[in-house]
Amino acid sequence: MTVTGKPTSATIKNLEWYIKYPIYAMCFLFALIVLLFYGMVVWGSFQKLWGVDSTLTLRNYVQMWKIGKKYIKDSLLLSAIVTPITGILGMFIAYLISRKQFIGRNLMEFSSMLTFAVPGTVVGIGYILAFNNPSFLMPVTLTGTSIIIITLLIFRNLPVGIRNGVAAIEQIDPSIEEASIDLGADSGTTFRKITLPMITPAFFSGLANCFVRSMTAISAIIFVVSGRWNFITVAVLGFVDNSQYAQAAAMSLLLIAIVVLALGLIQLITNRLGKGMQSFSIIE
Amino acid sequence: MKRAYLELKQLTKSFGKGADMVVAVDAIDLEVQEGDLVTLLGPSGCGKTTTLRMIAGFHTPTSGDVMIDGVSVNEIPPNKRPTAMVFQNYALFPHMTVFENIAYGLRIRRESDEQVKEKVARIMTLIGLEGLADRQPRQLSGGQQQRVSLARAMVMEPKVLLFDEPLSNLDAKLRVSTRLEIRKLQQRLGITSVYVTHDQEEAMTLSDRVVIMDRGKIQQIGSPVEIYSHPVNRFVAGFMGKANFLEATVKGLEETEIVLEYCTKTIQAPRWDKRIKEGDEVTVVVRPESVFLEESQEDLIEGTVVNSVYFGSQMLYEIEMPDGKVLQAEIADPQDHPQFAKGHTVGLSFKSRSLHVLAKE
Repeated sequence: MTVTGKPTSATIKNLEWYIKYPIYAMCFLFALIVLLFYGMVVWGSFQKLWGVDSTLTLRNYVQMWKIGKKYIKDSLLLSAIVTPITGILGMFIAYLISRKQFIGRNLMEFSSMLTFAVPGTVVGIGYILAFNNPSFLMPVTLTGTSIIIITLLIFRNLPVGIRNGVAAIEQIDPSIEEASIDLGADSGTTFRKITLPMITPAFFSGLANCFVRSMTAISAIIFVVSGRWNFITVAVLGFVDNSQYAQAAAMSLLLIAIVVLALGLIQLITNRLGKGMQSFSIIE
Repeated sequence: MKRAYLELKQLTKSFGKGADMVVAVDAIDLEVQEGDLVTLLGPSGCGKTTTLRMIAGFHTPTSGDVMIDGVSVNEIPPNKRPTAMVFQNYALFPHMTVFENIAYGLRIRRESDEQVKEKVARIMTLIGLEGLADRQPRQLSGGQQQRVSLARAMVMEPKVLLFDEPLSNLDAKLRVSTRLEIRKLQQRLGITSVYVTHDQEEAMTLSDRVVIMDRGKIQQIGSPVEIYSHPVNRFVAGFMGKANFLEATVKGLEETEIVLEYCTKTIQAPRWDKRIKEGDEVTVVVRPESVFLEESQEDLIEGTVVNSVYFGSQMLYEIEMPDGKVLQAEIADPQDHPQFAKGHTVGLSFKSRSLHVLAKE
């Protein structure tokens, strides 16, 4: 528990050089490899024909845009719908799991983590099998609709949000919430006025995480996309299938740009809101 | 006229089931008079905090009743109870200013803005928090944080104010001054209060009455003076203040005196427990400050100094008695008394009036 209202401080220990530099070199190597991947994507997206004709051109982007506009729009729209729902639901479930005693609490915790443990392809196939035909559970067919993509992304991303929330809530001394209840607030008001503001940073990092994971989802999504609703990641895969590597690279670059932009935006909001929040891991 | 304002009737709380069941609070009865401050004192795990949390409503009693002002509050959830609690680690809302913290409960109660402002300002002046309204809790010292926590509870004008070891996070000096302030405020406002602590000094200086608890049961209820001078058993004697226990035999009984034999010598002590008969084996509670030391003489009990520690205002001796037990003696104003070195044989006598005789348990 770190949020108790009592000040704490942390110290950073200096490492010996013979430990520090080998580790530094190893990390640097990994970073270099990652940069190489991204560098290849950037470099490839401007080539006329990857591996054959490396004349620089913008043609790939023009072609990609012509075909990919709809994919981008769908991806952005669906992720934007999924993100806040997942964020709020995640925090709410996290609160229930870590603070409330009720029948089925363990079941709730277990089932909310389940999609995390199952491979994406299995989840995707499961969704198709479950919602391909009307059944007593779901009277209309969901395959091909936006609903199936939205629900899949929510349940696929929820576990991370819940874990974030649980970690944040368990840092808070329960007596802070008890104090609120003792002063007359019911548990709903306490969650809204006390718990939620204190876990705002976790909430926003959860949002960022969810948005990024939604935009870059592929394994489960590939089974539930359709002509009506499609995803950038699926489009990239399509380009690769047609050996249009350069267009695939161009689209990937666009996806990276969108994700980075979204992360920056959420970081900005978190910083703005987080000013009053830093009082938690207080250093006096 | 004082009357029982808070009553606990056969209050019981057990945790777990079957073989793992732990009875934290075992059928306790307690009456707290209106305007009194009662301390629940005991070692950790004695059930004092559990009792407090049952009064606040955070724990549901397994059986028994909590009555406030003649009405059972068992069915009332904690947020609707007329109690307010001061928490051990302050439990301030870290994202709110001092003013917002104190105003929180009033706002929940939907009091008007002017009323909230007026009440918060009044309590802040009373508790000595002027000028801190716009601070964040993290910008306050520990003592100030605890005052905010106190103000936040008091502003609600609760019927019963509950304290859960509120001073245990403060340093020793601040603890002493804060507890005096709490006592003054509580008496001035006449708020019925229940105070949980494991610090006997705190209990002694704060309370109208002290409740000594051990293993879920009340051992003794009484004023600090009663409990210190007439403990009902060894546990209470040992917990409230320091105590030496001597094993003695009753030789004779008089109207107000009891004559005891200890290591072939005779001691006289006041007679309290009328159930003690001649010939009984008893335990004598000897407070360290009731021991006199001088050069060994014919009719005195003899002991050997095994250790001595100088505290300035007093001298602490450890003396090995003829029966092999080690007795602690505190001699006030060591300058005015002869000092004895380790290994010295001394003669002991006791302040008769402050001795207390316990029947063998």
